[in-house]
Amino acid sequence: MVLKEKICEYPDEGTSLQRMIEQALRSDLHQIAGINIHHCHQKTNVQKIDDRTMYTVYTSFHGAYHGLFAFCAELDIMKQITEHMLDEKDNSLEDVIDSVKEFLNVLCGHIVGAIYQKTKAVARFHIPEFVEGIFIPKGDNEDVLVARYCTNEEMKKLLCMNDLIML
Amino acid sequence: MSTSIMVVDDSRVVFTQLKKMLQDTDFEIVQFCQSGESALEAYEKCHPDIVTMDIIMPGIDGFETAKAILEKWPNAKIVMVSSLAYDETIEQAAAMGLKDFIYKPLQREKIIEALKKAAQ
Repeated sequence: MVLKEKICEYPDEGTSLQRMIEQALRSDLHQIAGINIHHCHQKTNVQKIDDRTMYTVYTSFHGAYHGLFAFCAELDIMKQITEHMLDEKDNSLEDVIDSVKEFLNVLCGHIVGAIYQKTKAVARFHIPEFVEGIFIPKGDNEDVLVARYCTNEEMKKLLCMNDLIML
Repeated sequence: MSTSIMVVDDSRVVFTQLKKMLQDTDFEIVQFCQSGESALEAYEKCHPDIVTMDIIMPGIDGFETAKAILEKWPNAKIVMVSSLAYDETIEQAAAMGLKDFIYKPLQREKIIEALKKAAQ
């Protein structure tokens, strides 16, 4: 199955679903990790990003709608999320993995909550998985929405990918 | 005399956060379980004053676990902790007789307020 990539460059041109996801992402990154994100204007193909420093945490949704959601970021960003969540520096990779899984857990809870508020559609999600590199989960849909962001300082990269099908 | 808390959450991060938030309070975490199944076993042994319960966990979820605890120990005090903010989730928790519903991300003041309310 070929995955087509739709690039969401600007919030106003995105779908309402993408906007909901972005709102939850911005809010949670800011509140949980003190990270502010901006849309990344570099038009780089996902497959061409050097993923040696990137990690992905992803999950799947099921219920009134189903699909997949992945959050990719450089290790430095994941460490920053961990430091804020644990209120400690110098955390182990195991702590980082636990923390970003919990971060995605919280984020997905807010996303499904936002979708519910708008549509009354109920869904749950599975316990997140963590992998090295950029991982694009394959779903039933051919289209994958990819949103790219960067942080204010040092242009660190994040990607947020979703492939949600409304039933 | 401190109020004993059992934390049920598959994430060690939540346990770490709660431990820090409850330092210097009258609440003491006496048990940490990462699944519903282990929570049922642990409750029987330690009978905590209050249980904080996550919803999404491997195996049986938080609601099933809470239901099982309440069936055996009707006076158990359980507070749900989750980022799932559906009206029906909150209504389900209230209908089951759960003491409160705390939203993630965790905030110290709200946790303490909910635990104080549950302890009454």
